[in-house]
Amino acid sequence: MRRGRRSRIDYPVPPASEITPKNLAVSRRKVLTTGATLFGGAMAAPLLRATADDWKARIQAAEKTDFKVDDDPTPRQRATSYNNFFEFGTRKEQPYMRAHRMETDPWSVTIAGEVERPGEYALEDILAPHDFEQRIYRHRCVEAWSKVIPWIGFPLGDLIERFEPTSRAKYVAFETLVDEDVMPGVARGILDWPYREALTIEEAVHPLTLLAVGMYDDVMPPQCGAPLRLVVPWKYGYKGIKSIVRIEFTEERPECLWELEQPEEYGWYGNVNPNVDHPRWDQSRERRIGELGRRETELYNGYAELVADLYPEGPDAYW
Amino acid sequence: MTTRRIWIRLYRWLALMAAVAPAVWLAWRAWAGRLGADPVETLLHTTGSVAFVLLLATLALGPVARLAGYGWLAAPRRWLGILTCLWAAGHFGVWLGLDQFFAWGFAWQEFQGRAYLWWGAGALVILLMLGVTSTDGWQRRLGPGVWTGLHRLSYVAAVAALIHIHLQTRADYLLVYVYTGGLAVLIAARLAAALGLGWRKRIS
Repeated sequence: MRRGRRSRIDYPVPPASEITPKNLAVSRRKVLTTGATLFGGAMAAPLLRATADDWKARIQAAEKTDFKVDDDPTPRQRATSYNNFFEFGTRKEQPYMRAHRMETDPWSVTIAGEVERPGEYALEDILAPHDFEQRIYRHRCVEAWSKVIPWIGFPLGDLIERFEPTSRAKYVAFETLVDEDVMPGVARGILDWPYREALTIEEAVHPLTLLAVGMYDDVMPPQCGAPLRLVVPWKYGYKGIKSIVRIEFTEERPECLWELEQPEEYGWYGNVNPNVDHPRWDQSRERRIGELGRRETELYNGYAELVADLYPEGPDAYW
Repeated sequence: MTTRRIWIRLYRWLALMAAVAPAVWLAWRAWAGRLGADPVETLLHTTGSVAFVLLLATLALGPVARLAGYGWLAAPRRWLGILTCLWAAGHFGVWLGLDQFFAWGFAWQEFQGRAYLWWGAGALVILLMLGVTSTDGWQRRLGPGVWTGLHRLSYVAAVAALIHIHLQTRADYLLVYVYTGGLAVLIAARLAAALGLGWRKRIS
């Protein structure tokens, strides 16, 4: 971290003396998770139900962190009724109208690929050891609109550490639920489902990268990707995959759905960059939802100081 | 004869009201604060869609009247054409005034290298030209040949507007296909009429 430079993001930096050495942190987690697994295995079904709802109760208690921007959050009603979730239709209000039909409880996530502890895990077991926190991030869509969202979740890096990727794990790939009974966009095959997205392992463990389970002090609304979604604030919204059912660690770079669909329009990295234009529309400015006129789009969505190191060949080489 | 005139006049007013109705609806939603999460986008998309559908409807009146054999069915054509022009102008006004907020430099910058804007602007220029020359006076001044030829440009405007829509579509092209199909039928009908193909009936 460069100190002394004025930043619009308050990024909490603990003093070096307080940073737990990584091996200690990992072994402590192992104790916790092993304990949780043993505990879970010994419990009867009714008690498991109780733990299943426990994570929802923890959402309102999420710590308000200094990960925030100066701008006012987008009003909740606007943020949750204007969404891209093409499985439910391509119009902005369709996810809001239809996504409630999606079954999000029970939910399980498959962890696969280059990882020591693969398997299919119940959501409550995935979430159990993680403390939730609130972070207010800018959100910039590739369609040149933006919002400011108070997310609730935990760093993806913490989850990755728990499942112990092997040394061959260079990328992390994600998949969204596919259910054509409730997803008209899937039933009509408007894209080559399932929705797939991926990050490099360095991007995935970056402290800004969040797995979100809620927003606006409440559980994640289905149209915004309940129960578990990815939030990568320096990338276009399409990288923030919703309703995740699979996380796979790979050595080869995974193919992403939008990249496959229109490679000249949707880069694999999808980093917000006002200088790399979408071929069909302007990327240098954006409309904040509900505002008149447009704002200037910032490099890496304003998070350049925190993420530029991930891209040593300069921003335009990673679009 | 007079009752017939009254009916035709009534029909024309009904068509006009149908073309104005979406504006009343938008105004009510704006007043009630029900323009959705992004009012600018709602206004932009609604004005654009109404303009395009109205253009197709205007172009359809002629062939429908000929097919049905009732010339009076085409009576509201001029009014609908003018309304199409107004909706398209409103669409551009929303873009320039609310989306760009009169940032002229940026608006111009956005035009550079944005094909969809040029197709839209081309369609608008044609529609404005046809709107201005839609009066009896201009019809007389230009003479029937020139005037009719000029107003055939409405098909060019429709194609340009369709490309304008197509270039902004992501993933779901159903509506684009429906619009393309509709316009293709209208152009085919126009060509068939021009070639004097069989189904043309005498207009009474």
